[in-house]
Amino acid sequence: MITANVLTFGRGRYAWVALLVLVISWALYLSQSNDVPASGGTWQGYVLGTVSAALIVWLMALGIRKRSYSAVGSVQAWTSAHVYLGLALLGTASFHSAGQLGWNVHSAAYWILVFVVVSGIAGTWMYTTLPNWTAANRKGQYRKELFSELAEINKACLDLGAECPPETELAIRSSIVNTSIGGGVLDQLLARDHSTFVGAVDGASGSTLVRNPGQREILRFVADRAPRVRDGKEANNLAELVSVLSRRQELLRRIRLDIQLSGWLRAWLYVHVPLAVTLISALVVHIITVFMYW
Amino acid sequence: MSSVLIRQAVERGGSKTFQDQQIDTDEISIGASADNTLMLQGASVEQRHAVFRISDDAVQVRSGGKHKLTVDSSEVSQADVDLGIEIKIGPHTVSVIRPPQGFSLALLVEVSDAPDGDLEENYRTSLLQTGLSKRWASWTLAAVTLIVTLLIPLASTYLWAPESGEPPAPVLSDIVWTTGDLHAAHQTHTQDNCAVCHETLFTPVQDSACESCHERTLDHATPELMLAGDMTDYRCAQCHGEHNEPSSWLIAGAVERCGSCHEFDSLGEGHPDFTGYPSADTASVLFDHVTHQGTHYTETNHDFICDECHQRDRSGQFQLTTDFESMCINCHGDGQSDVPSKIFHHGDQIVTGKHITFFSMPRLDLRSIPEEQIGIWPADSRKASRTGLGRLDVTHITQLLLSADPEVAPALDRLLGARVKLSKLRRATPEQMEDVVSIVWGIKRLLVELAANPQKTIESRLRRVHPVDSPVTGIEVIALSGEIRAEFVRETVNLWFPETGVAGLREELAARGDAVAEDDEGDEYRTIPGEEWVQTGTWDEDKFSIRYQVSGHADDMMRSWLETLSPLSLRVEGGPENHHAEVFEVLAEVEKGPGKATGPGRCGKCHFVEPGAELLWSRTIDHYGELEHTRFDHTAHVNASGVLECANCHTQGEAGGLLARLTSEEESQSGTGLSSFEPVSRESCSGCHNPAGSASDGCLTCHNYHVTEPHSGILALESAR
Repeated sequence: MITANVLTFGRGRYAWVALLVLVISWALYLSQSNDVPASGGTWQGYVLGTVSAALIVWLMALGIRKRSYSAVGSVQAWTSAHVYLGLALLGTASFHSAGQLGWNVHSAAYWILVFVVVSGIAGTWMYTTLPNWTAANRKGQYRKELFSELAEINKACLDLGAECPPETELAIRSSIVNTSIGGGVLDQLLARDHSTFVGAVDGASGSTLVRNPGQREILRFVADRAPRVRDGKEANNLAELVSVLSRRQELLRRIRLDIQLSGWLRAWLYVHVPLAVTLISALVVHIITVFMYW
Repeated sequence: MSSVLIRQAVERGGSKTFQDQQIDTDEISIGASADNTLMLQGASVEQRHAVFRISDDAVQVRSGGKHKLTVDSSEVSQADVDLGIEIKIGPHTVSVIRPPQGFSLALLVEVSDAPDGDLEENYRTSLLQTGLSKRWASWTLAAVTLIVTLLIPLASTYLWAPESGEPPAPVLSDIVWTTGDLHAAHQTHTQDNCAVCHETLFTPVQDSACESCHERTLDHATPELMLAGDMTDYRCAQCHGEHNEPSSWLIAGAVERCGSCHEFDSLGEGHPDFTGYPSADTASVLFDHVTHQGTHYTETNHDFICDECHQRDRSGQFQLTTDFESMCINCHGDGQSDVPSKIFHHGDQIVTGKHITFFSMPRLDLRSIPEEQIGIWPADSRKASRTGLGRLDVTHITQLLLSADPEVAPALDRLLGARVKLSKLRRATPEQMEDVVSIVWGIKRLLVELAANPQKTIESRLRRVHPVDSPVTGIEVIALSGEIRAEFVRETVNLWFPETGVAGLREELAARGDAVAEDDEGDEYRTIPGEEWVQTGTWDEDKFSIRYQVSGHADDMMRSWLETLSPLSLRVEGGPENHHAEVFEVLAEVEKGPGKATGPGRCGKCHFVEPGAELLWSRTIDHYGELEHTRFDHTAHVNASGVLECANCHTQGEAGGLLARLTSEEESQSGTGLSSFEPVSRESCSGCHNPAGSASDGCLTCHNYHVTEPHSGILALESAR
């Protein structure tokens, strides 16, 4: 399992490294004289700042390592170290700042760093949690198989629909064609369902486009018609249709959840990576301006 | 002209069906909503997907919303409709085919019932398909950060800065580079203009920036010492940091910083003991703490409370000794005025004030001296008071004033050397009798001069025997004279010489060829300037004596005579007669030692009145610690903590009693008046002032840094090198 491997890699050896870094940083922070308020400007502050900057650069190197096949160490080892040393960075940077924060570029760099680490923590949680949920949801199937199954059910629905009166046939056909899966960023992450079908509901005359989230309305549409038919064959047809549409409803829920989980597994990186690059920019500004106005 | 829409559907089994629809409008719309000319279903079919517009000469198709149309595989908003083009509408395809006769446009719509192929491909199921880009976001955010926080502030500060010198707008200026708030005073001065202190980029703040305001700041030590202490990087900012939190913090007083020169670890370890604290010269008044506490206060049933007499000043630093009029007089007064009556213990007798016998007619041995040689002399002067007379039977002050008369001085010294008394002249030699005669005429001259102008007489005679150029000021002349009136002297002389009076004496002297002053200058010889004043007593005549009654504590005549005489009152063994010393000794009664003086005024009972010494009546505090190396806040220690008592720190030594008293007998005799309190022990401070204690042991807690000559800066340091 990936989860266990990233956090428990080498029996958590990088957790101990990170802890050591934190303890040393803490001791350095405390060693600042009582007569001088702790800050990034004492010699201890300079050391903590240098360590933090070095950590940032090293942590960024994971992006390079991921793309390289000839580098030292496995990606797994690098990721484990990345996670733990990233957490340690939050400590070293905080000790460096000594809590002296305000409205300036230096504090901005700190807060960007905090967001990067927090997004990293969120990402680590997702990496260790969401794959399990995905596996449970897929029940051993690949997504491609889920869609193949959907295609089969779609065809079965169309076949059953063809036996129905035109109004019902149009509703079934349109509900399949107008089924919404995935979509934009928020549609995928929130599993929003914009499905519709063409039909008349609640005794309205004529056909209109009916919202059909979760396929509930088409099911109700077909179920409402079942008691009215006298033809036994048609009744059987409708009953079977309700059954197939129900299977389809469940399958669509799983597909949407699968897309949602996959989305979240990627989404945090769209925060983590750009903010990390921004952090480098802010760090450069921080260092330049500190020494420019020495 | 009409158009035709041909809808083609694929039936189960693969057969195709066609439905034709004639349309007579000049607009054909296809989309998902029911109000279109042709309604098509599909997740990717927009409400109003494509709109065909037919005019006389052309047909155009455009998007019915913000979406793009896929026309022959290209994404467009609109396009000319030519024969053979294909427009994708979701899974459906619309083809422009050759119209039948009589129609201007024919559209073949291939309706797709269900998506073909891999179903997933019909949907966007990955974030990668949404147009999100990590790379784009990264570069954009990083660039914006660089531009907003570095480039724009740089440009606004150094390229676009207003010529007026005012700081640019806060959002865009270099103020975003601040590492924290400034001290309020510095903030007021700089007004967000960083360049006030940061004069040169990439160069630490230089002293010149500080000294533009702090121009009078004192240094810690001479450049030579600073150099010896290896303080080569010697800038204000070495100790004074800015942009701190809290912003009021400006000084680094770390032990390790000071310890680079002062080599000890802390107050508790290695710091020198406080041998001089309280300093040896703190006592200005002789006050026996032990007898006052143990005897006098107990007998009178009073509590002995330190701060009744030692009240804290406004700075909180000093427990100043209160003055006589506020405290001592409660016991050492007569209960009605500030005359220090009870202070005059004389044995068991309490004397309520004493006179100074300023002048006394000598009890001249008239039987041994021919009258023709001395002229008029009161016969009953033998009844003159014997109080306060010197060796020659005249008062000491008379003796001093006579010594200023060049005709008398040699005779005076000879007679004093021969121990002759004017009241016993039977055994006097003829030469001594000549000297006596000389002195008698000198006394007459003195009396006539005093009657003419006593202030002038005293000043001119003192000036004559005083080696200092200008020993007395105008107001001091008045003080020295005790404000005696010429009229009083005249009346007194007239009383003593009833037959002739002052005029007769003047005539007598004139007949001898002595030039004596007329009494026309009166009492206006010296006037008291401005708002100054002197406190003097009263004069009276008693048995051929002119006496001065001391006014009370701090009598100006007493003070002035003692101060004037003191520098000249050191006796040299075997040396010439010292008339100054005689007067001084009588007024101060120095021979009895400090604390025992019973002479007129009794100044020496409590004050250090020593011949040759500069008389310090009271200790004055010239400054409040800013120039002192060490400071101590009594308020913070006694009031704030509420637990400290004076005796916790100010303890009596082994030789002493409860609190303090005069030091040993020898020291009392020497008159140094050393405080008998033990120096405050270092441990009494380091008990709280230590690294683990409740109070800081930082050097600057008690010490001031800038205490030496004006700050000389690096240049001086370099020149010293």
